[in-house]
Amino acid sequence: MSTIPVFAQQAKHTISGTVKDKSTGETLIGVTIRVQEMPSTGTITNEYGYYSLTLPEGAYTILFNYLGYQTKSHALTLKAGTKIDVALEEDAQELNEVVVTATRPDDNVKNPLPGVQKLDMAEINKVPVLMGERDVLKTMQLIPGIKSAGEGNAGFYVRGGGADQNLILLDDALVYNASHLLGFFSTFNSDAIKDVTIYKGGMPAEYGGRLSSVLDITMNEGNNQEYHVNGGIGIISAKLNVEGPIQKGKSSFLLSGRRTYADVFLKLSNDENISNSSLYFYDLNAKANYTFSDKDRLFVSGYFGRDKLGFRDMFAIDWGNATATLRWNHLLNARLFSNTSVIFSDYSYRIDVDFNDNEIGITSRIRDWNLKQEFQYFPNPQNTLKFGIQSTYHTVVPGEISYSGPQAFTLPPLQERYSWENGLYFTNNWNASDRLELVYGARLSSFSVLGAGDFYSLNEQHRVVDTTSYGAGEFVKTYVNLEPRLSAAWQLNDKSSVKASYARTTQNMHLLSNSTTSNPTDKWVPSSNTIKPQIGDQVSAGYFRNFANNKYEFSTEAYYKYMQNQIDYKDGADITNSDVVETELLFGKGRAYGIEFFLKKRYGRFNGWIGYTLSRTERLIEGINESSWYPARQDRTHDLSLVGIYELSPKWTLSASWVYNTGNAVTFPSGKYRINEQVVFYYTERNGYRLPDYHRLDVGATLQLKKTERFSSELVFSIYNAYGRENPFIINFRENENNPSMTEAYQVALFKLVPSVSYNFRF
Amino acid sequence: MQSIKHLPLTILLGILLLAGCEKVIEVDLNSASPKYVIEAVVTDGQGPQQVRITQTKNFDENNDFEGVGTAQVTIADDAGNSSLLSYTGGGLYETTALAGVPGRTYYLTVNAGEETFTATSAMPEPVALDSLYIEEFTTFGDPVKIPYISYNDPPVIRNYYRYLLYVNNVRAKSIYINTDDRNNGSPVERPLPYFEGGDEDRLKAGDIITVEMQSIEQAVYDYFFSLDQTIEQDAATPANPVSNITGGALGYFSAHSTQTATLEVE
Repeated sequence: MSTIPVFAQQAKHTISGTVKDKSTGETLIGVTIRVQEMPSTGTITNEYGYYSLTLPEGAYTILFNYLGYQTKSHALTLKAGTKIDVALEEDAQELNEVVVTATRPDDNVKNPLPGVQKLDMAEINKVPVLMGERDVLKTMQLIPGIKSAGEGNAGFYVRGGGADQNLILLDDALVYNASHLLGFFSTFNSDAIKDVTIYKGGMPAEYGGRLSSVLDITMNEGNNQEYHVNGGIGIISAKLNVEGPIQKGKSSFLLSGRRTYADVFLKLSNDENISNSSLYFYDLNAKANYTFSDKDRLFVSGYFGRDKLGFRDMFAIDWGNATATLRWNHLLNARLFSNTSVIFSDYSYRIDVDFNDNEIGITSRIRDWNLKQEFQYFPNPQNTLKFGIQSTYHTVVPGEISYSGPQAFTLPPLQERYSWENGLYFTNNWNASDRLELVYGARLSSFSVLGAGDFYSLNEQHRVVDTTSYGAGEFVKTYVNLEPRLSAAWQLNDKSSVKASYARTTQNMHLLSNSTTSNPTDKWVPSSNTIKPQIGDQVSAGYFRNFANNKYEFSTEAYYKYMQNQIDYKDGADITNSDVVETELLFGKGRAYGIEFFLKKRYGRFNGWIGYTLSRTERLIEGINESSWYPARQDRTHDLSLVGIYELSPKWTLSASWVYNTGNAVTFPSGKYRINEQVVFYYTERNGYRLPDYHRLDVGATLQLKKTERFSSELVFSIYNAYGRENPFIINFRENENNPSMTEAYQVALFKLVPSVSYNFRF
Repeated sequence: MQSIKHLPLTILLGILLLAGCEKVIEVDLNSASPKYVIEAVVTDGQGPQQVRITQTKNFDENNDFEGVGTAQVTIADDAGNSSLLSYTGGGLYETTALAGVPGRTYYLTVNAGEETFTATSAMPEPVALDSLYIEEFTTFGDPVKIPYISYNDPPVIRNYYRYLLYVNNVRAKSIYINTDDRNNGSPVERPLPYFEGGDEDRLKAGDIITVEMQSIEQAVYDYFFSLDQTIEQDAATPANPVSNITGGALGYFSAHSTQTATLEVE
């Protein structure tokens, strides 16, 4: 087995430090650090580029290895605690490859967590997208197990979970609505993003609050060596990114902004209804960091984005997220790393209506204040321990209504809701042997529903039978859950491994929507005395294998997920107008299971991947479909995606992606009748029908224009939906316009063949 | 409110649909075994109290819904009165032998085929309709005449209303309902915008407007609220309206008191 016991009696010392990119000063996440003399001993840098490795006294050569960078070795005789900060240089040779990946080449096999995917920003930038807007979220949906909610729908579904069951974190701040323009674009400006990791299952215990997945996004820190500007101009938007040192080598800043200008074209229209309308979004990312001492580093980062939609002077809506994160990294000693964060997150929308002297304004908001204290402890090369506490105060303002006009309305505001969410966790990464690696931990989560407010008791008919008033800060109800998490990886050999995981997750913020498509006005509702926390248990197991010197990677994973306290709507539910929204809901259980296949070619002139998922997602809720299992909306039997990127010449890179999936489960009428002097459709079951299969081809090409040390630029061409498939966005039913004695079905399709071109530069 | 919240999507869609495209498609819809549809009303006064019974059809059939003439329909009240309704054709059953009295509870029993359906409805007290008038607005540069009614909501909570708008004796299809949840005991001025047909069908001078204001029960309000959602296809999930009839029939039973006003548009 291991030679460690031989050294057990000797004194031990810690080597620690930070690994950075030499040219930008940006810290590097996930750099592999190995000891040449002890091939199975090593560690990786954490999310702040910090590492710590405790070894017995002796002479060692330490190797710092990161893909796309030249490996650096450092020889030393270890007699006392030693600090080694390393700056790695980009490998010019490898940079010429089409894709520079940020993960270690054998990560697929060696990473102990199944169901985790890291996305490479360089790769994201090559995949063709709608209107040329490079997009982390859209590209992520090409990975098996992660499914797009469809055109015009914000959000994505992970392993049968709902769109609200994804924990989306931007520098630790929760992003409640990750979409612009009702889901056509995501809120993440790829210029400002450093690292994207998604956990489809087996999420470590430091994450909590959502049932299905974790999407952890880290913003770039900014170059602390020299100033850089990059930007792009596309057919619908322009963006600019500025970064540079505040104090060279010590601190840096990054500012990144983006705005769409489709509304400029609206102004050109002859139709007053169009020319007086507005439709745009913008967002701004900012980050700065400052190194106070060897032991202390401070980060401030923020995001602000807003969508605006207006129709003449009569109607306007704007919505968006704001987040801010203040973090303090502190080294208590070489083996104990502390991170303290204060995090603010806000999502709001405002609607203004001006109609015949009646002015109505509706404001809705959800706001979180979050304090997080985490420690990372590196006791020895076999163990990396994380533990911490997280405390969040949520305020939900469902709708403040203002009215001015001739009517004698008294519009009481919908009740504000307050809650306090806490998580206490530990997770340990244990290299049990050369072959076995375990990540285990647990999270103790609590959710307290707080006053002030009225809380309701409902009878079996979902009518309010009793109301209890609570004062400010009074505890209405507290839910406590213990969430065990376990992942294990067993190396069969250098090229292959098997992995398994189990995770329990809970969720106390629930998203309710009044329509089958998503709207910025969808309602976030916290758990209450009647809405219980959603609980999910997922087991997964997979086989992982790399071929041809890590050139190809293959994985297959199967999962089964059981979910309690799932929410669906009762027949005829009205979410929008109901103050006591509980009266519109039904609760039950869900199950999701499936198998995923993923084959990827990582290097070479041609690379890309194939992903396929076979899955099922069902619910059983008393009062729906005679209390039998029925498919959830996101249930899709088959889901296939193909991505190919080909470097035609040093100047031209071509790319294409093709997706195919079974249509979502939908409710269609099975008959009709006449009542109230009109024809009304008759429904027999929920989600008993399917939308037609969805498929679409996108193609893209990148032309490298000019590349020097100081300036480089490129043109990016793309065609979205290249063969013009009319995928239905909506299917509805109506009386036949020409023959009112008959009824017909019709569909609306968006986006057939959308070409785009954009120009990107960097200096 | 309902419509306001859906505006963003509607507007964005409107803009996108310039690029999008709409077409009629074939959808393979299941056929369902026919269900009975009951539309039953008791109004204050001698009526006639009316019950219409029809059946559902498959989606691809035509829109002629034949009446069911073989049912046995009875309405009784909590004052000991009862009447068997007589069939008058077209699925319609009537009686003038049972008076509608506010405050009384009415019981409907329908025997059709092998099935029995029952429903209960209590008739609310009438609320006086104070006036019917026309207000003129300019929308998208065009003048539009909108009928308004005004009345005082009584101080007791939970009043529910349904309004029927007739233009030249033809009933408008729109469902107009109201609750006093947000303005209990206040004066109410309620617009009843007329949406039928095209621009040429807008209200004009000489049109005769009649408004019937019904005081209805909550269960009937819930029925029409959800019926509107079913028709507009904008509920959280499409479903049949919430019926107050037990036994598995579609439709509703409403005992309501009414007030009526008529006006000639100037």
